[in-house]
Amino acid sequence: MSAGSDTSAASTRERVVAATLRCLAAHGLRHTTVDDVAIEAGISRATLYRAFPGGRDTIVAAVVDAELEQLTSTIERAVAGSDDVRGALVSAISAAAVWLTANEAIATLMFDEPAVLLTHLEFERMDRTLAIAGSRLARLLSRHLDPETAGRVGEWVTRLVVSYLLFPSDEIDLCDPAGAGILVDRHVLAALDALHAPVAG
Amino acid sequence: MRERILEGTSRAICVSGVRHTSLTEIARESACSRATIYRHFPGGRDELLDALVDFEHRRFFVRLAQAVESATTLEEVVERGLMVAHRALIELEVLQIVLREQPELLEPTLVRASQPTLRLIADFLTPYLEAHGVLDEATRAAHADYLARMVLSYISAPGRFDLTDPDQVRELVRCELLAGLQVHAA
Repeated sequence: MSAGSDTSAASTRERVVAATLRCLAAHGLRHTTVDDVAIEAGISRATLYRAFPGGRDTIVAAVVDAELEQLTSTIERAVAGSDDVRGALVSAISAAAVWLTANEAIATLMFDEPAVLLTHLEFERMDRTLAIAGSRLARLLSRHLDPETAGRVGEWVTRLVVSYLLFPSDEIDLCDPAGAGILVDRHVLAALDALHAPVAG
Repeated sequence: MRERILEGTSRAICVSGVRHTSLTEIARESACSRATIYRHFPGGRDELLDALVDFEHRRFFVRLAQAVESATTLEEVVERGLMVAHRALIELEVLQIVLREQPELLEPTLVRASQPTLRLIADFLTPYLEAHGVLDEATRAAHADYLARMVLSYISAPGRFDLTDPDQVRELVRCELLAGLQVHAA
């Protein structure tokens, strides 16, 4: 196989992922068919199935992975400039919340088909999300924390962001760095201090 | 009778799966007639499935509350709650089947009940937080909300922890969850 066809296969996949996101934003998952995606992507069904032989489920999985990648690189950029652990956490949380809130596919699903999100953000698949997002976050925090602590904190933050996405709070808006800061100070840094404090008894 | 039919529905789903469970089968499992089912659930199968999710959801939290009500400390109530809830969730065969086959059935209940569930857990934990030394009311409310969010998160997805292992649960609760509460701060 030539390098050229690899590139075009990759670009077909990208086009399909982007088209699926547009379909999800417009109609949700239930009303999005493989045909809809092919039309939206401007390719034939045959081309689509060559790129995604598993059909609908594998397309959805690719979309989830691509979006998770987008989210984590958004967080990476936000965290890059921070010079202490508090700054890194506040930037990571608010950047994640802003990205999630602005995501039209997620907004449509939240509104029309919350079960779709819940099955990705709770139960078994959430463990996978936690492992991926948590470990990426942990790597970002490793400038400020030892690896084990960074792993724990990465997971807490992922859980908190997901929880506030699924159950928005009237009191704390994580999109606002001040809101994220409240959560970080009150809970995350408190737990960090306790982890590092000498254990009594 | 409603309860008997709902329990019958749950059993029928465990045997045949969601899609292949018919009203006839539900009637057989509930030991009643189809007419009786329609009297209690005029909307038929759809209404029955919707009511079942609500019923199981409520039953789950009632049982959870019963299982932890004898706990005396915050540590104890959270540890026991996590273990009981996690085990109950895995053993709730009908939930696992619905999740696999038709998760959209959970939608109405999740939409209706998720925020109340969070509030329910937070309210349940509040007196324990007071006994734990969180005396300021506003701080207590914030901590109850935080703990409820984390507890719900761990119940459905334990991540790095094995929630069937009491030592691991102890570590999770003491070193991570409760550590995230500033008890002595103003």
